[in-house]
Amino acid sequence: MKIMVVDDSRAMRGIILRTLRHAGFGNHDIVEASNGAEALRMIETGPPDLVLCDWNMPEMSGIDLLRALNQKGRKGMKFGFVTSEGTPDIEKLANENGAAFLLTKPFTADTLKTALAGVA
Amino acid sequence: MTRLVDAWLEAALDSLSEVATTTLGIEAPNVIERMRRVPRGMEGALIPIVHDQSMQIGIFTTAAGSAIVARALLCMEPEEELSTMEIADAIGEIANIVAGGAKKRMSEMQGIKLGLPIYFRGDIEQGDNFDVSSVILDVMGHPYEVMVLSRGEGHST
Repeated sequence: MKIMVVDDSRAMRGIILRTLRHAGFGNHDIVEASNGAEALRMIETGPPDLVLCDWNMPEMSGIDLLRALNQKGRKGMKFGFVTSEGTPDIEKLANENGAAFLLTKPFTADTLKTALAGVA
Repeated sequence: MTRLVDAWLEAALDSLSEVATTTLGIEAPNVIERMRRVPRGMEGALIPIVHDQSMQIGIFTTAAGSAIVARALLCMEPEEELSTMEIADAIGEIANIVAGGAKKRMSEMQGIKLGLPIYFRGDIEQGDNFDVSSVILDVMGHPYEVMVLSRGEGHST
């Protein structure tokens, strides 16, 4: 399985990668992008099975990336948010656009594992 | 009624305790002193809070304090060198998570948006007509200041 981690913070991408390993997903193919625009370019050349994406990012936000992917047709690609924006209005917007889950930072290996249970 | 900056500061401190014990894997920090002034001569990150009333949440510390947190986040050894960009990234991300947690705890205020982290070193000019609430914390033996700055004095119910 190919997992794409999209976050403008290198520190946070590192935390997500470490937590993925601790949650038992270390043997998957994991790629990184630093914002939605970069992720979109990478997805066009090699789409992942799952995108784990931040909400607030420069150039292109997470919700704008999800909308762009929806317009192109995601063809089974799963999409989840890993964000500090865990309010009900953000969660509603994520759900309305077809996100599989919204995991709020800070998170643990257990909460990440639970979020990924239905998609990975 | 509680001053808005005080309500946000309490939400930020509660959020920071959660970040400390989960993301950083350290004990929740102790409050040393409460103040009504902006930090001076430190480095840190500010998160703009976009609402009816313009506000910012900031986290500041010394160079040594920010290096400790950056190394913890990036899983680096004490002897490994850190770049300014790595420190700015780490402190900015901590401030981002703390502000997100504070926003969630202040859920009675609708329609709040958070901006991207702004990293800086030096002094903040408080200016006239700004309300501020801040604390000094002990994080692994280093002083950290958490501040909420608001244009005008608002109140939370």
